[in-house]
Amino acid sequence: MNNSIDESNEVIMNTEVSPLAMTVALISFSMLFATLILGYFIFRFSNSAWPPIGVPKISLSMPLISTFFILISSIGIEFAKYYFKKSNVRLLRRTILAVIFFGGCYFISQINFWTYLNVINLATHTGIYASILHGFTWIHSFHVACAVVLLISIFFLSFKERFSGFHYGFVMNSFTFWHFLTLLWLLLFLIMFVF
Amino acid sequence: MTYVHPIHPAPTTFLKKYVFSMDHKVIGKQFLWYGIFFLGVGGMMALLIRWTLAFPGEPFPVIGSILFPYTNGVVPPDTYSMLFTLHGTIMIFYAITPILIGAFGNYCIPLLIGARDMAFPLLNMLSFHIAVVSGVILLGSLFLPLGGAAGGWTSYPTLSTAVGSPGAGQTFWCLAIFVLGVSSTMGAINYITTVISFRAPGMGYFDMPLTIWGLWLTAILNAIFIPVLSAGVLLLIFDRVFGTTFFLAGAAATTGSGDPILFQHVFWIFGHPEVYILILPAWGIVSDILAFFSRKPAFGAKATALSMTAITVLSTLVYGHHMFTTQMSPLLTQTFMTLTMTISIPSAILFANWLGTIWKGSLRFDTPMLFSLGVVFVFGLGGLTGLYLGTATTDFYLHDTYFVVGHFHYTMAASVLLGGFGATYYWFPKMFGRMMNEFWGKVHFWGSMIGLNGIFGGMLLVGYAGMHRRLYNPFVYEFMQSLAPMNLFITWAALFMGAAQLPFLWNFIYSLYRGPIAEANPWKVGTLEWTVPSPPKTHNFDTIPVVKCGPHELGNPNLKNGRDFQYQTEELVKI
Amino acid sequence: MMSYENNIFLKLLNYFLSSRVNPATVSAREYTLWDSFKLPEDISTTGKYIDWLFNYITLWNIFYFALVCIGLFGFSYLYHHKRNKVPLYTHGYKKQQLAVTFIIGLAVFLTIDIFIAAKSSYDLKAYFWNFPSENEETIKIEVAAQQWMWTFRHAGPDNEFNTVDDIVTNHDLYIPVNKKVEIRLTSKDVIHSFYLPNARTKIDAMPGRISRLWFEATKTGVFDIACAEMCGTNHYKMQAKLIIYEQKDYQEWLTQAHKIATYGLDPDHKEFNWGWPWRNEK
Repeated sequence: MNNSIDESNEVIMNTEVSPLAMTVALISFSMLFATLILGYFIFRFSNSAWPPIGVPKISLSMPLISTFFILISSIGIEFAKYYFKKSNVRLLRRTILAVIFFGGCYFISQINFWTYLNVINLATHTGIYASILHGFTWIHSFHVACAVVLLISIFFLSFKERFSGFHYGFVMNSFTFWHFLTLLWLLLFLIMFVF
Repeated sequence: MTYVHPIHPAPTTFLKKYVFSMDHKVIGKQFLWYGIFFLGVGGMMALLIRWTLAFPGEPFPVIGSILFPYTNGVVPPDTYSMLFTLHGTIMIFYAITPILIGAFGNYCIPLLIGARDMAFPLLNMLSFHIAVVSGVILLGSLFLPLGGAAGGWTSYPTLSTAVGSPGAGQTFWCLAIFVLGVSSTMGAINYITTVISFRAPGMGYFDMPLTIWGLWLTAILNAIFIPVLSAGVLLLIFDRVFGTTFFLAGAAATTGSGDPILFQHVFWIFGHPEVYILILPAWGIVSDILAFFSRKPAFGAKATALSMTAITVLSTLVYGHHMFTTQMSPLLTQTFMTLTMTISIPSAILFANWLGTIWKGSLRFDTPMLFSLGVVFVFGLGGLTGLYLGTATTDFYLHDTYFVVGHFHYTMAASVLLGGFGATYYWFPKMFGRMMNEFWGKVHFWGSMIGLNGIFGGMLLVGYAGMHRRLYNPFVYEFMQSLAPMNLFITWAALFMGAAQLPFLWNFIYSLYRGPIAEANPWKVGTLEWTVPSPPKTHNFDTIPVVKCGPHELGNPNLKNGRDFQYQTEELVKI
Repeated sequence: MMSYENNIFLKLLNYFLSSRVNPATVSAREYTLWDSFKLPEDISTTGKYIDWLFNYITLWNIFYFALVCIGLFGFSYLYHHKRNKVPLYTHGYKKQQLAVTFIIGLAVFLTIDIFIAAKSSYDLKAYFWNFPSENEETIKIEVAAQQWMWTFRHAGPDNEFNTVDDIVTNHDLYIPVNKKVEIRLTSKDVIHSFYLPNARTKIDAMPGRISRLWFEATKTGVFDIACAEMCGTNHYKMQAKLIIYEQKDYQEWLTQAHKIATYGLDPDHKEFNWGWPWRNEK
């Protein structure tokens, strides 16, 4: 088998095919969240007051903590990307563990947030405002959990021999996915909590 | 630049060859068996529905007392609701999608574009197995204490929330749809990437067979709009299981209510592109087959491809015509009506091109050709009946009547089924290395045509007479008592249609084992899949072909080598 | 001489095509297949616009579908490979061919689509959305849809809804002929749809929303009201009757109904207040 064809093929796979597929996948994920956000805007702007009258005002601190953790994790992803491209597997693994750690912190802050909501009488059944806060953050957190699973599998794949070239697409796409989720959280944070 | 899969050694173990295969051809066949199985289940449900409408109060023969022991074999009202809900769901998501998109998409795309496999074979395999999980969840819902979902396949809240549908059946339905959505999206990503990056060198977009256009456009719509349905269905699960109030309003929601109509918007934003997802592959296949069996190029192939693209784009803008009776604002209502009308133009161009293809051809009426001609007929009828429904005022009368049922069955069931059958007869030699029997194929065709037109023509008539949908016993209404004979006629037509499938089943199974061995190119057509043996080797092409002309190069008078067609790998002979 | 009794084919046809529905649910009259082709009687002032548009679309549909069939069957006959051995090698890109394709597309759009969209828009604005104004004498009715029945409320002599003199009827909607009727409806639980086949119209009844519909009856009689949105097990039984009276008969009914509605307020009314004090035995 002519290895040079294989290698140049890998290059095409990594520079064209894999990113193309990831773009399509991101469009799909974006449509899921776009539907949710469309629903949010319709509920918000067809209500005369938002938050609806009688609903307690939530403090920004907990969502801010979540934002902080997920931003740090994205910075970690950038480091991981750098180490991966430099084929520095040791540091890559450490960075991935750090990102997973911050992902875990993000989770705990989300769980705190949901418990807090339930305590201040914003449980899901109290109405549409609470439903949106809970529902959308659950969906986002679930996708973060999936991204963590992807990172864990990258961690274990990094022990294999043919790691950098063979799994280039998978690793880069997983990192892109993480960044996508961070951006998504920023968007949700802005439209649901800040404004 | 084209990516080329290297030639991997063929799998050897049974599991790797037939169960966990990453070969697109095997996965395509897996989807075919899956789809045919569910076609049978959905068809059986349809039969139970038609029985109830033709013979209300009478027990279903033979298996009635086993299925419905507590009512002596008569279909009970709640079960009836479950039947029409699951009939719709199964036929759309578990029969048509797996057969047209899962089976023919998977099988045909790499072969027709000159690739060795899909872009991501592992993703492809996962897509099938996730679809199996979804099927298990849906069928499992039938065995729950309160039965399966019973709110219609559209599952509008608040009927589909815990208020209107107690029990886990509706939740299982939502879960099954969500899981299937994951499978479809994975498949869509694969198809889109494969068509863009894996086309053989020299194959521009307009050198692709129209089948690939249909499958590619379908995949694009799938990738964009399935997640919309997933979002809606996910929020419905939250409403049912976690007490959120997204779709609860009125008496059901005690504070800060949600909006059931929002679900309708979300559902139809997906729902309208979905119907085009179902028909686009059939349009592509028919466009190709008409050309091949007329022995001349497809008339206006570029215009057909562009019309299909235009319809793909327009389909995203028209969903509101499913909601004319929900009192949308006048501006929205009129906008949706006008936009819906625009779809007529590319559709008419499709018909002009189909007729142009057979015009002055040298027609051979093999079974695939008969089915394709049948699609032109039924889609013509079905598409034209859509005009009544796109017009808001006539829709006020016809909404939720059997006229709608007749319309969508003509365009979805009849057209797609006939297209799918045509595709089956056409690619059977390539898939299984044997030919199907022509005579029984023709019997199957005429039986199906007569049956389909009887059933759905009858439905158009009873809908026109005002009979509305989802009725266990329509004859409690005085204005519908005169429709009993027509309902009886429709049921007889349905039974006839069902019987007409038996020669197909027999033909299929017999030909698998005893059919005449097929050569590499039995239909004498130039697209790339006919340049390889029937069935192809695991890696499809020993050397990736280089494409030099279009897919419909037939009937060129200057061809010298005794053939009346050119392979896509041959230099185009100028006139 | 062919008679029904002597003709085995007619008998067979009739056996297969005539109704044999459960007599408990259907009137005893036997219907034939040809009865199925009739529209419900149009007893409204606005239904005719829908019927007209339907017929207009049908005429053009017959025309275009006939063209498709002539193409399909005609070309299949004329260009059968035994009759036409040499196909015409064309891709369809010649100017005339492209022009024909384009003209066909445009023709369909102009003859049907644009016209029916415009006519329908006009009908919507002139009739269906042209609700009776404040000055017109309208019969106002509030309708509640629930699983699985219809409840109708008339305002009563005080002309205010939700007061003690309202007339509430279940299953039967009484209206006078030749008067505009405005119906406002909502649902108590799931989505239903208020369907009047004889007025060619329907509107969904949605929980949390109030929808409205108006029509004017032109004929007295009893007609069907159906629920046209899947609402559960007994969706098929959720019917009501539209009872259209002459105007004076309607007034009589209204007075009678109002009297009955206020019986409960009269403690001396013997028929309505027939109870007695509860005594505990020692």
